Amino acid sequence: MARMKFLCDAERCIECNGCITACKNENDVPWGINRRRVVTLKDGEPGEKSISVACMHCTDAPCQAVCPVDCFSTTPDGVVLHNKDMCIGCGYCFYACPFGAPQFPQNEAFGVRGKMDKCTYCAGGPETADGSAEEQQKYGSNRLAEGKLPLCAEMCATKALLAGDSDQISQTYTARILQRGGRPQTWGWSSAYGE
Amino acid sequence: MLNSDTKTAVSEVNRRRKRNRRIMWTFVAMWLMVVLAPIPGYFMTTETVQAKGEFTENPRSNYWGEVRNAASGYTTDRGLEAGILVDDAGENWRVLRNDTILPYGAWLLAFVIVAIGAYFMFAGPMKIEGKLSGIKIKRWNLYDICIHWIVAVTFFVMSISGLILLYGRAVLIPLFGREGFAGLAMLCKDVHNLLGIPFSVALLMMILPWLKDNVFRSEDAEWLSQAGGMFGGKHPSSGKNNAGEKMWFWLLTIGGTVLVVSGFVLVMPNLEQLRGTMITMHILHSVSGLILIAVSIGHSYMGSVGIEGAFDGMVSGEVDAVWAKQHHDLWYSDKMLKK
Ligand code: SF4
Ligand code: SF4
Repeated sequence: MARMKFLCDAERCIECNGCITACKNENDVPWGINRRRVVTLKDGEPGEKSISVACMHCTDAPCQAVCPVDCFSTTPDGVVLHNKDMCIGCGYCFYACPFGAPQFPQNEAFGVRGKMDKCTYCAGGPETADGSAEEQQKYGSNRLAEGKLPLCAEMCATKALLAGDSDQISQTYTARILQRGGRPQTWGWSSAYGE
Repeated sequence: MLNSDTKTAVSEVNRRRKRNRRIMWTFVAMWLMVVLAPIPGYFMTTETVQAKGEFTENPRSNYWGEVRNAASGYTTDRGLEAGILVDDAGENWRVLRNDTILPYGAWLLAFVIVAIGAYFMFAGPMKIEGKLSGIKIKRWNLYDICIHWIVAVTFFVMSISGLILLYGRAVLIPLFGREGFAGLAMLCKDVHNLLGIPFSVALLMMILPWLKDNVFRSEDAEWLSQAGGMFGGKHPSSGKNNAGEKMWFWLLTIGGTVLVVSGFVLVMPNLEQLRGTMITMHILHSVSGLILIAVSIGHSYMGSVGIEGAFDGMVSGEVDAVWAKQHHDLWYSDKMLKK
């Protein structure tokens, strides 16, 4: 079975935020919630690099381990989904996640957390019918069921953000690395601009 | 003839010995060469690297090392700490909660229950010595009684709901299934969050007026050294509150403050507190909660079946003179003197 993963090639990402826009649009992500974000390190300095990050769909996911209602499930494709009917909005998954992926709508009184929301790998929800209106409204689109990959990666203009079976995307990435050569001085920032 | 034969034999032995020694030294020399031969290489490599000033460290690996250690960058995401790509803090929290607090908390509660059960079976309740006198002495006024029971009931409900949130996944999901349990958990979360407010207020209103009766005094050391007469012997002297009650009071004051403060930090995530703060508060909250629950089981036992006559005191506010003399003799003589 395939194991779906994301991989962002930091040498290619140009911080255009196209993936963010694609995600927001495709999944009707509400205001204030960001399933994906682009982080730029050393912004404006030599060695600047950007990375697009969302839920990494961890194997043996930490969020899953701490959820008091055990509402996470991993699909046979390796996508980590959570059931919003069961979620009680305790925030534990947000404490445990190393990537800051779980998000919470804060429209209740005193900022009490609503149901957790995170990247679904464009695979809808665990309990809703594939591609149903309910699923779209609750979790966003289910492109995986249509045989398509997450829109963020599909839209990425520089093909920095890769999505797909982990074996295949790591092959693609390895091929890139080999072509660039193992030495950092022959590619990347320093070869293009000097230090 | 014989002599020359012996001579040849001796020289033969010597020759063999010499050869063996030579072989041995050859091996030693070979071994030394194998071990030492690469060493000049090390010197040379270090020299060249130092000369060029390159490859002494790997800049790319340092770069990603910083990212791995929660370095923060720029992002358009307005969320708190959104600039951090990887943060391990939650990993430690997960291990502390799932592998330390959960099992040790369960052991603690089990130990307390078993210990109390064993004590009850072997020593039985502390009976009133002699006949009741029928003379009533006021121990608690109406305010004390009300505030005690408000704190007690809210504490009880919050303990149960907190324990369900902590242990429900392990204990209740196998019984009710995930869907069934989720409804209960949601209810527990809401009840736990809302009751926190009356509990905090009532706790404060209970601690303040009771403070002066819970200051430790000279007789308390004696009381403690005899464990309050729990294991036989003469009942040690005590004022209005004995040393056990005082310890429970101070534990509740300190633990309760930790619980209330950490609870408020956790319940209002919109105060811009960072994840690290919330994680710390969660650990403090669960540890102090579990300790207080464990001790409160002991307190409930003493106040109900453990000590005959104690429960009536917290219901009617009055205790019998005989009970007072038995359990709180100093307070009893005080009261008698005043009368
Ligand atoms: S929410 Fe976080 S911990 Fe859970 S699978 Fe996604 S990246 Fe991993
Ligand atoms: S917020 Fe929801 S999904 Fe996250 S740990 Fe709590 S119950 Fe589980």
